[in-house]
Amino acid sequence: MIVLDRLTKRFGTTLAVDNLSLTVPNGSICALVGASGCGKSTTLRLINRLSEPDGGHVLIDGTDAASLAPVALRRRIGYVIQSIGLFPHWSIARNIGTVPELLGWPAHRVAQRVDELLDLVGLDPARYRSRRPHELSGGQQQRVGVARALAADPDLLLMDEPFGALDPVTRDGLQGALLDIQARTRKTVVIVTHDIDEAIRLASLIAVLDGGRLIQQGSPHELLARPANAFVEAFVGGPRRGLRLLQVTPVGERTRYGMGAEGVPIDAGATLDVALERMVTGNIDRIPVLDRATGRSGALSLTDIVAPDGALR
Amino acid sequence: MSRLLRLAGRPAVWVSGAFLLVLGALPYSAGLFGALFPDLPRPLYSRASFLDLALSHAALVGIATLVVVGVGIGVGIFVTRPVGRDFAGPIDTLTAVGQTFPPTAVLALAVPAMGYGGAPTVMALIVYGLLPVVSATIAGLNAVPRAPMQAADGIGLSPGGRLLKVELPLAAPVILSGVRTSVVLNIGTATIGSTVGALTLGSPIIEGLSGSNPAYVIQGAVLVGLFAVAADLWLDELERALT
Ligand SMILES: Nc1ncnc2c1ncn2[C@@H]1O[C@H](COP(=O)(O)OP(=O)(O)OP(=O)(O)O)[C@@H](O)[C@H]1O
Ligand SMILES: [Mg+2]
Repeated sequence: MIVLDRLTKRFGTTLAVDNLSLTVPNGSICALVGASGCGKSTTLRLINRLSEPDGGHVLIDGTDAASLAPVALRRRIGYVIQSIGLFPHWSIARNIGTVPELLGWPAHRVAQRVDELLDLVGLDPARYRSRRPHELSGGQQQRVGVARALAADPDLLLMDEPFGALDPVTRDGLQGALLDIQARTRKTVVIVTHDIDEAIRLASLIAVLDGGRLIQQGSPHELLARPANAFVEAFVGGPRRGLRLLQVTPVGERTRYGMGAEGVPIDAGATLDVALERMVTGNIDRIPVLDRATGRSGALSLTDIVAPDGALR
Repeated sequence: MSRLLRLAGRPAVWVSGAFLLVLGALPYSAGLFGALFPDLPRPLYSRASFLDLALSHAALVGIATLVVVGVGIGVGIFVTRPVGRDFAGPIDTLTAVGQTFPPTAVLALAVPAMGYGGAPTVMALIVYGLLPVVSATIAGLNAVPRAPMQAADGIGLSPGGRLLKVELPLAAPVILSGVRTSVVLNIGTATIGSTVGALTLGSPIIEGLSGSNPAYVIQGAVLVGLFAVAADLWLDELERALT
């Protein structure tokens, strides 16, 4: 668990982080979002002590980070830096294997781990492991940066815009991979992103920052349904707020159980945007629903997609 | 093998070859210089063998370079660390003064303390050769890109680990160019060591100048010149291999 307790960081007269308190439970993904310069990267750097706070504390699993040795602390926290920062004089394999090597893993295990991670981020190990960073495209370098952060299988992961340079398809694949890893190994992840759809997809907790202050925190659904103010509404929703709300609302919430419909049933755990998509492309206004967990079945009709009581939720 | 072949086409190889050739042939060139300078009673320098002169010259420059590289890189590292940052200005001034100080003056000051011979010469070479290495080390370390440095810290390299594994390798070409400047400068400067009794390739030059024997001057100067150019080219090869 990561607890930020009234964290403050000043650069000269700029308050980069202003009295920020935030709790990221173990095994969850927290997304920091906000305009450029609002203090997202600084917040990450305060967590792994690349920067020391002017006020407040960072608690990692209950221990004040200030009392931990910075080098040892950073070796157990995976870190993807915003500017990628591969070591230009080393091969891709050595770049990825740096932390395991520092931790004293035997060479064959490091090599095996490197190949595993190259596969994970979609780079053919045979083709890329002995290249130098300058022989890779920006997006490929970024993927190596992500692999490097994952190398020693850290419980904590800090990711500063890790997928910013990727094409939509690759980004989608890596987001899926991150969700898989996180589901399997229950990592605690703090990710900075400018892509609100990415935050909605990955995070169970989104923190909106502005001028170093925490404006609102909550689940994607909470932020979309009940934005604290116009800033949050514009930032997380914008003109697509209603559509994004569909992305975070499960079909099961609007299903009329006991009713029937024709066709292949949709899972109750799927989100409303998927249901809507099925209706539009299938030219139907009603689809069957199956709750795989309980075995119950029902139906969802087009009008159910709009919240029944008229409130946005 | 192909590497060796490629190397054979390098100017460094040719110039070193020329240096060795001249060094080997000079002892047999009395006739040539006699013909060139018929007025000179002894046209070939003979107080010491050219091989001894060259070896002693190389040893003096070599010892000075070892110290210069050790101290120069050490100082450059120190003033680019957080603890030493305050010293960057004074050190910069000090090494610059060391260079503007004429090497003959260093000799004049060192002889009373160290006596005649190689010791004051090495001293002068160290003082004179330090500036290029110190400033190249500082420039090289300061030019290491920020992103890999931040990444190194961020993934948990210790400050020493970052220096050895990231900063120095990335700064190496620039540092080496400073070493190259220093070595070439000092191969030339070492010749004046002969004024205080050190055995160098400057010995024929100095004696030729004081004894109006232009043949001696040519013999010394050609060897010093070829030596300096060869060293320059080899260090250039090394620099290229590092980038
Ligand atoms: N080392 C530093 N020295 C001085 N000011 C800094 C430093 N690092 C950050 N700042 C300032 O602190 C503020 C927050 O910077 P930070 O890098 O955390 O922003 P960010 O939210 O990550 O922005 P972006 O989305 O553009 O990456 C900015 O105003 C920035 O100019
Ligand atoms: Mg940033």
